[in-house]
Amino acid sequence: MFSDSHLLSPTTMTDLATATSTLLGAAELWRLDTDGSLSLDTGLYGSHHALRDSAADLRLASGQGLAGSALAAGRPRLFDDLASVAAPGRAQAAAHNGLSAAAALPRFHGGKITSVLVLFFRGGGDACGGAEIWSAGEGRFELALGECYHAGACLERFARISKYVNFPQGAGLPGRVWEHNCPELVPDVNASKTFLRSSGDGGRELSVGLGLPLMAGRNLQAVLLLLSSQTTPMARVHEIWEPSADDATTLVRRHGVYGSMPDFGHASDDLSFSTRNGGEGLPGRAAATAEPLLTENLDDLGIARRDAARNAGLTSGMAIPTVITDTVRYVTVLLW
Amino acid sequence: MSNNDSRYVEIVNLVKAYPNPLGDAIKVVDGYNLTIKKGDLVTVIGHSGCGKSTVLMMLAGLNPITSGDVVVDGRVVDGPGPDRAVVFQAPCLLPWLTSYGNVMLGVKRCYPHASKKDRDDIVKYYLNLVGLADSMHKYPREMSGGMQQRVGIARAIALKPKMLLLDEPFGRLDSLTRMDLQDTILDILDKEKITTMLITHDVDEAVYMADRICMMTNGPEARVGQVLNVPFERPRTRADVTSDDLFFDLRASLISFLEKNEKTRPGDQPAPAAQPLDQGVYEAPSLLDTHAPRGGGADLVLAGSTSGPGQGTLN
Repeated sequence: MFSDSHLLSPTTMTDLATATSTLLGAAELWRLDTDGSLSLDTGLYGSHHALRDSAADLRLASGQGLAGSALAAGRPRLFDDLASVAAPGRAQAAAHNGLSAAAALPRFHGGKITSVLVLFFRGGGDACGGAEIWSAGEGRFELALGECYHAGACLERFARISKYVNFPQGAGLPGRVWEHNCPELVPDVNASKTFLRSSGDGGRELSVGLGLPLMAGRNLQAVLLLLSSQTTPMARVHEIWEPSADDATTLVRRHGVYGSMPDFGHASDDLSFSTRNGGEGLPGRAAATAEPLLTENLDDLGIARRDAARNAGLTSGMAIPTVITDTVRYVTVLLW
Repeated sequence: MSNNDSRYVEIVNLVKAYPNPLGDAIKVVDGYNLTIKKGDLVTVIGHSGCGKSTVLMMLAGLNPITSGDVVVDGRVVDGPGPDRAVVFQAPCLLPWLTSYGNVMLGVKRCYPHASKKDRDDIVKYYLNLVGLADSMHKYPREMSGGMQQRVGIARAIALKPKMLLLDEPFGRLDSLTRMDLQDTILDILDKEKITTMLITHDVDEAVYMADRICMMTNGPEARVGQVLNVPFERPRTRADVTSDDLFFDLRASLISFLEKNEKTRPGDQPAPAAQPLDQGVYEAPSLLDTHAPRGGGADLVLAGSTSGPGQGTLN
């Protein structure tokens, strides 16, 4: 079972309803070329034009820039100091757009990295939320917090305590993701038995928690946690899709958190996406290619909910497949 | 520290279930995972009845394990043994023996080939270590509760166990005696480096004494909720620890964990049915557990791992 509570508190609902900006500010998908360098495949920038312009015609060698650093490391990386690692001009462009941190997530196929998904996170102002990479603690059969980004003074104490926390398999949200190798959504971390990390007063602003298994073949490399706050959700829609029990080539919704957009949620009822013939819609195509997918085409969200997406002001969508031994088990969709 | 030392005690997928004549067996503890480094002191904290003592008793080999593994120094636990000494809340001394006699009882069993003088030295050394050099020939009825508990501790550590299991050993003591005995145990552990598990209800005690704090969720089906590493150097003093801001942060974290657990007891969980979308949340009516095999679950290991007792292990 996912959690003990599936209901957002009235406060959470209200705050998500009025939230206009998401912590997730931009995303890029970098593909590995035959010469071993990375080139930009697609990017979602919204109004962050400076960041988009800074990526034009850019090629990254291994170890260079955000995506290149993850490629060189062979594991997910998270940077809260973009100036020290981003390609020339990109940190300034990100800062110009209020983006202060980024995660770079390599995608493995056949034991090799084929692409790197880069997520940019907002900072400053009212930004409150976080991204955390949990990986093997030294010498222990537990997950420990590695690189992380906690935005806002609201999470100061939460961040301070978190570096002392470990999760054995099955414990807490990271431990549960590890146990099942399954992405997991916690609609309201403050009311959830799944999300037990707490630090006194710190962290009460958090709302939705998403745990993503980062796989390399059949091995779990790390767990990525994306933590939304009531004021700045990571994304406005969080969904997890999975192959139907009746037909493995059809994706059905496993879990969805829609915050202030119940109409969009209703439009998602009974929706399914085929993965045949190159796949249908955002999750179907991501499953068909087993690669992350970025889109600004609302049709990709499914014709049935295109209007609801437009009415809700959604502009960007991202699908991240969870691939275990070259089989897509789940597709996580974030919309903002 | 070798890999074996860093995983000196391994508790893997530990389950304790009791038969239920009305239905399925009741799992008091389900999927408990914990590793303990050699020489570490781990405190276990959780609400009353959550299964803390059940876990300790399985480690001690005094309560059979339903499934899972407990491995101490590479050896699977399959029953009680002198390598794991237990101190209970009640000292449980034999009333017809002096403190010396109570400690000597175990020493005779553990050191059958030692000379009489050697055994005498061992008993005196450990009674001295717990501060009872002047009370070796007193009977339990002649000693306070704190003194009796000191005898119990001396009796346990005189066996030179690989692991010391303390089940709320200060639970019946007044606060001053409790603090005194806490310091006595910390002094002993600093000298003897015995890997220790301490069950406690006391938040301050958990933070002050531990290298790591294992926070348990509520039962039934209790498991580890999270583990908190306590970074204070050893040897540590109460004054140093309690004047550190981090002490209060860790303490607050523990209290909020316990409070949150109190609010989310298993019986409070809503049924896993599709949720109304006017709440902004949709969840498929299936249970995660029923899908676990499709996710690969148990046959997957963390990258860079090697096989361990029943699962992959981290290196």
